[in-house]
Amino acid sequence: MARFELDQLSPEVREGLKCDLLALADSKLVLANWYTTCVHNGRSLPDFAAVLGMATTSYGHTRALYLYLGDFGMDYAALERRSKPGELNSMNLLDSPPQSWEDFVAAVFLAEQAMWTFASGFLNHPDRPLSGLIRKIGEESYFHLKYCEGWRAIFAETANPRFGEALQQRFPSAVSWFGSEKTDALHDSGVRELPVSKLREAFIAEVSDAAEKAQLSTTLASEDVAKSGWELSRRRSGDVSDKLFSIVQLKDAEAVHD
Amino acid sequence: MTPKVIDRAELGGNKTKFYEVFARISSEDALAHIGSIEAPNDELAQARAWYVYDERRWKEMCVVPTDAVISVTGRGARGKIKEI
Repeated sequence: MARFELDQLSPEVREGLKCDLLALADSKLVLANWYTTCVHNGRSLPDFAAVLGMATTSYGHTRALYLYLGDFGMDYAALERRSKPGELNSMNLLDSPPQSWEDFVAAVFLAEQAMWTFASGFLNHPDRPLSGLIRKIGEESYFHLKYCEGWRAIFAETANPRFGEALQQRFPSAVSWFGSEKTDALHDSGVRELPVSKLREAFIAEVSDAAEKAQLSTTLASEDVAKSGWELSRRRSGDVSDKLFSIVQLKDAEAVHD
Repeated sequence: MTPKVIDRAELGGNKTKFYEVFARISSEDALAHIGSIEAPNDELAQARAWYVYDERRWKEMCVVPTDAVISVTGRGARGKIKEI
């Protein structure tokens, strides 16, 4: 079997793949920080351990993807040490902090589901290091999603309306991560197994199922990304806030004592 | 200021129960009991067990509701005594 070479790709497809993987890696970075910041809200010892575990695996996904992006000529240290909020390409969904435990679970569920659905498009990618990395992400995301599923069941059982409200409120920015393009150059060139529009449909179906189980009767609405200044190359609109950037920005060990 | 009240649901469910955790490192090993975990449902039990007992690279891990375990001997004894 011939080895896959990135140089075989057209400049447009190569750039598209780089941007999509960077958007995924940066979103994982911000999600890892969500977990780290909220870990003390794990209300029991096993819950605390689970949130911390999900933080470390999310950081691991970010770092593995940053390393892979080295094949695109990106420097690992430069990726870790970006200095401006405008350089971070994380999903809009994670821009606003959680307002409650229910909102935390809703946002984390949407982020995990969106990221895994999106990443699964590269599960059978011809480059084995990438497909292997995506498989590993999938195996670990399974437990992240199990965690969300367990909490969803508790909210449904206790007839807690706040989870459904949070899901409804955050859904438009979650689905906007997929964009609304009808064409997908990465799929057309065989780099992505399914077009993003199909992955978007799969994401909506998964969330709708969760909404139904959460006894949320209102239809989930999505927004028109074309009107919001959404950029395909960053899979987001606008920049993350200075405050969020200061939280996720890599701190060198020495800086702790400054 | 009213203090925040943490109820049972927030702690992880109204019907918290225990699960026994079994795992093995390789296919040649037998599944061994490695501990127990508290969780209100099967999904949280799986996620919590995976992260609490992550000291090894397990080949396989299972959780069993403690309620489903039928004791053959007495607790800490070689045999049972019929209860009267």
